[in-house]
Order: sequence, then C-alpha cells, then structure tokens
Amino acid sequence: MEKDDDTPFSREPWQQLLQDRADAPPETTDARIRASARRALAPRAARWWLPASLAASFLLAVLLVQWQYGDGEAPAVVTESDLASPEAIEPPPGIDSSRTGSGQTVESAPARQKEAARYRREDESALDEFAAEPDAQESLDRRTVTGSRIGGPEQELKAASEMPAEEATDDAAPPTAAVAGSPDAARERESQAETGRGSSLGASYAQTAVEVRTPEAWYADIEKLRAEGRVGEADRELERLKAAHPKWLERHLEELKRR
Amino acid sequence: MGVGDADAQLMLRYAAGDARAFDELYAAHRGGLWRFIRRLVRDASATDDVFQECWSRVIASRERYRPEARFATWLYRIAHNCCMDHWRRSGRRDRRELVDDDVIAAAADHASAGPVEALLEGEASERLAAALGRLPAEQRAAFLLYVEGGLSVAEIGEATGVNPETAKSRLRYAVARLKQSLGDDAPD
Repeated sequence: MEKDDDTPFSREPWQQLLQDRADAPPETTDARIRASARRALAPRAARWWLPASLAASFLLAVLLVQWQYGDGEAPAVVTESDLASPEAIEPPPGIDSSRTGSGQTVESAPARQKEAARYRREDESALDEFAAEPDAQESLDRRTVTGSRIGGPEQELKAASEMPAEEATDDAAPPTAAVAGSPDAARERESQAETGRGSSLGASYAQTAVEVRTPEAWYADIEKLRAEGRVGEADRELERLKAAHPKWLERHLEELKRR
Repeated sequence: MGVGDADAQLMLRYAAGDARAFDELYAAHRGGLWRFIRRLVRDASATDDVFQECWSRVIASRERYRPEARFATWLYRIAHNCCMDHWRRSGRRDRRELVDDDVIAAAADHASAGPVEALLEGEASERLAAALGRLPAEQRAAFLLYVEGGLSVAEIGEATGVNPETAKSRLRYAVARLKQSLGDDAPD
C-alpha cells in the first residue's frame, strides 16, 4: 500500500469513487463568492483616496494660513508700553507726504523714528496743556478707558493705519490745536466716541488738541483775528465753530446779552 | 516551494487587484474543497455556510498571504479550521473523534458486522461515503485532505496542526477501515 512517506497510496482510484457523486457548490454560492471577491477589491481605491484627500486638505489649509500671514511670521504682540516708545508709534497715513497712495511707507526706519519722536513731543506738550482743563482730562480718560477695553493696543495700531486719506491731505502737518479743531475732525471724534471704537493713534492726536481748545477759547481766537483785521479768516473760523458746536454760539451770545 | 506554485501566483495576482485570478483559483479548487467540507462536516445545510466562510477568509487574508507553502495547503488549512469552528459553534462533534487512535485501530481490526451489511447494499461510492461518515473526524480529515485536497502527509500535518507522523498514522488507519468497509470494491 505505501509508496513512500509523502504518498502512502495512490489517490486516483479513491478520487474516482468519491467524485462519482458529482458534488459541487450551487451556482448561487459560486456567484456570491465571486461577487464578494470583487467587492473586496473595490474599496482598495477608496482606502487609498481617503488619506490622500485628508493630506491634501491639510496642506491646503497650511498654505492658506501661510499666504494670509505673508512670510509666515506670527504678528508681534504690541503692548501699551510699546506704544509709548517712539519706535512703536507709527504716524497716521497721509500725514507724511512721502507715503504712497496705497498707504505703504517708503521712508527709512530712522526717518520714521525721528518723525515719531517729533509727534511724541508735540503730543506731550498738548497733553500738558490739556491737563489744565479738568473736564477735558476727564473726557479723555473716559475715552481712553473705553478704547482700551474695546479695541486694545492692536486695534489702535490698526485704526491708525486705516485713517482716511482725506484727513491726511487736509492736514499735511502734524495735528495742532487749530487744525484738529476743524468740524470734520470734530464729527469724526464724536462718531468714534459714539461707536466706542474711536481710539486710533492718529485720532488721539486730534482728540487731545480738540479737548484743549474749548468753544470759549476758539471764540476768543476768532475775536482776536477780527481785532487784528483778519476778517476773512475770522469768518471762516466762526463758520467752523458753528459747525462744530451748533448751539454754543447762540447760547454764548444770549449770555453776553444777559450780562 | 510555494513561490513556484501556480495557484500561489494566482493568489498573489488576486491580492494585487486582479479579480480574474481569483476566478481561476476558485474554479480550480471549488469542487475539491466543497467535497472535502461536505464529507468532513456531514451536514448538508452547514456545508454551504462553511464553504462560504472558508472563501471569505481567503478573500480577507489576501493581503497577508505569503507563498511560504503550497496554496492548497493554506486553503485546506483554512477549510479545516472553518470546520472545527463550525463544530465548536454548533456544540456537536462526532463522538468518535475523541477516541484515541489506538482504540480506533483496534476497532478497525475487529469491525462489527453492522456496517459491513450496510455497505453491501449500495454502490461502491455510496458505501465509501457511508464508511467515511463513520470514521473519526481526524482520520476523515486526513483521508479527505490526501484524496480531495491532494496534500502530502507533511502538508496534512501542517493543515491540521499535527506532526507528520500523527498525520501519517491517521491516514493509515482511515484507509485500513475504508478498505475493510468496501471489501472487494476497495482500490488497491
């Protein structure tokens, strides 16, 4: 019976006896297994695409973020003390004629620092004058607190950079008490005070100067101009005063009459 | 060994995504595997389930398949495991498979008259099928793996998880009992 260790006897006669029964799986079973084998191959593509699409989405997101932030550096955090330093103070756009129309600075860093230092000195002198006016001081404090609470230093810098160009053309020089007291500046200041966002650095120069110049002082200046014979200038200033303080002049005149 | 195997190459092609390779593989083994399972399980309704389960495992393991052995050895090992799982699930095992091989051998030497009388009534193939059904599961598996699966003794041992000597012993006892049952119709 035994031929060798691996094939101890012949298979064929036994196979013939067993295969006489012609056993075979049903056709439905065949079809089911073949379909299952094909289905198992189909998801391979899906499994390949899923991680690929995820990776592509992630890459796209990273590229978008990098594109948004330019060279990819995170924006520096600006504190209030930084704002006080000359290096951090950026003059409002339009004030300097060397700026381009799109608001991009073309001047060098030392020039900017010099300019900022000049603004700072003017600002300090204006504040000194302003300190003499208790009501104005209180008003400024309130405004400063509101501005800090709502916008913060970053917002102030941003607002300064977004200052309208028309202000810049009107006021080519750094804001002084006379210029900042114009009706446009006053309206701007009032609207910013209403919305609670008027705390831009550029606007703060104007606001400080405006608070220094009360209607009484303004009217006195007008009288002074008139006394000097500069009638045309005095009339223009009077119109501005009316526009800035619509009812003040009437009240003032009535008071004068009463006296 | 397995690398040069044509069936192993088909399986590798299927694992790489060639569905037609599976069709060829299935066509080559469906008959033998079906008969192996049907005669080992001896339950017509369960045969289809076990057969499908076996091929499902083949499909699921396609990426892990390594042609370290002949494809048929791998396939019939899966089929044998499926049958064992079926018995485990159903809680029904052939009582005789628990009997020691020596006891079986002794029983084969002193077979009772009952089965012999039954064998005489049918055709040789039917008598063979009946005799197969009376064999212990291990011997039946060894015989079917040898005849239907075309596995060598060593491969039977590999497929059933025993050493070649045990596999050879089981096969020898199975053939001895089948020959005794078939009488003059038994192949030489």
